[in-house]
Amino acid sequence: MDYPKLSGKEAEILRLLIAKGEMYGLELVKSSNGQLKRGTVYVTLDRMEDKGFVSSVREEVTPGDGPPRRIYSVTGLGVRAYRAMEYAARAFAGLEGAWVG
Amino acid sequence: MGRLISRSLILVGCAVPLGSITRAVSINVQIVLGVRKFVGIDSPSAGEITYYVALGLFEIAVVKAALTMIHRTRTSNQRIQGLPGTRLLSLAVWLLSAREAERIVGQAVADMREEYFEALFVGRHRKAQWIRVRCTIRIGLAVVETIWHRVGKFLLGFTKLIS
Repeated sequence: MDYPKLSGKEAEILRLLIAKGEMYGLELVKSSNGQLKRGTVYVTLDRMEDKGFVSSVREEVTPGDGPPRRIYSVTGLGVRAYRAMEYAARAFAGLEGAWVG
Repeated sequence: MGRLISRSLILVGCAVPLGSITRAVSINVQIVLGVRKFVGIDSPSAGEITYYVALGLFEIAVVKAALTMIHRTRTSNQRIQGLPGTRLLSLAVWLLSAREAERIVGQAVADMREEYFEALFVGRHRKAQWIRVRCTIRIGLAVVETIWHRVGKFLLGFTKLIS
């Protein structure tokens, strides 16, 4: 069965986007308490967009302001993938507890 | 050509003993003034005149070099620099797809510029330079990572195709 897989960075991005709604890449880095790095956040976001977990909209800018910024938001698939991962993590934590107990 | 002449003159001048500088200045001044008979010194030979003219030119070259150096030092803080990330963006457009260049490098450059201008606004020039260097390295690494990812994807597809 082909199911969506999430890396640690992707899970963190989804967590932040679900909690705060739309965010810029730099905001994600600042809110992640060091879990996301400036150099790699856009590479991760680009791959997540390819997988359909996040979507982005180009900000409108006046000429001369430099490259236009993108604002990122989570998609329905991203929310489901994150919830599934959370559920699996909780289930595993429960199993671990039962095993230890 | 001018630089070559200056360097040659410097080499000639270096060979001149310090004691003969006064005599050289005296001869040169009198040549420039166009005297027919040298005053206050023994009449120099033709070879000596050529030698001292070369020495005079060497002195001019040294003074000119010193003035240029002083001028450069004074104006070194006033160099006009391009916007940070401009070259990176053009390089990314060449190396990556337009989409990747805009979404990965373009966004990182926008962040770098924001931080850079914030630092400049509060007068922290050194910090601004540091941000420029640090972000350029980071973005360069992100470009390399993207290319590696693309190569990996291609190899994976190729392996699947073969098997």
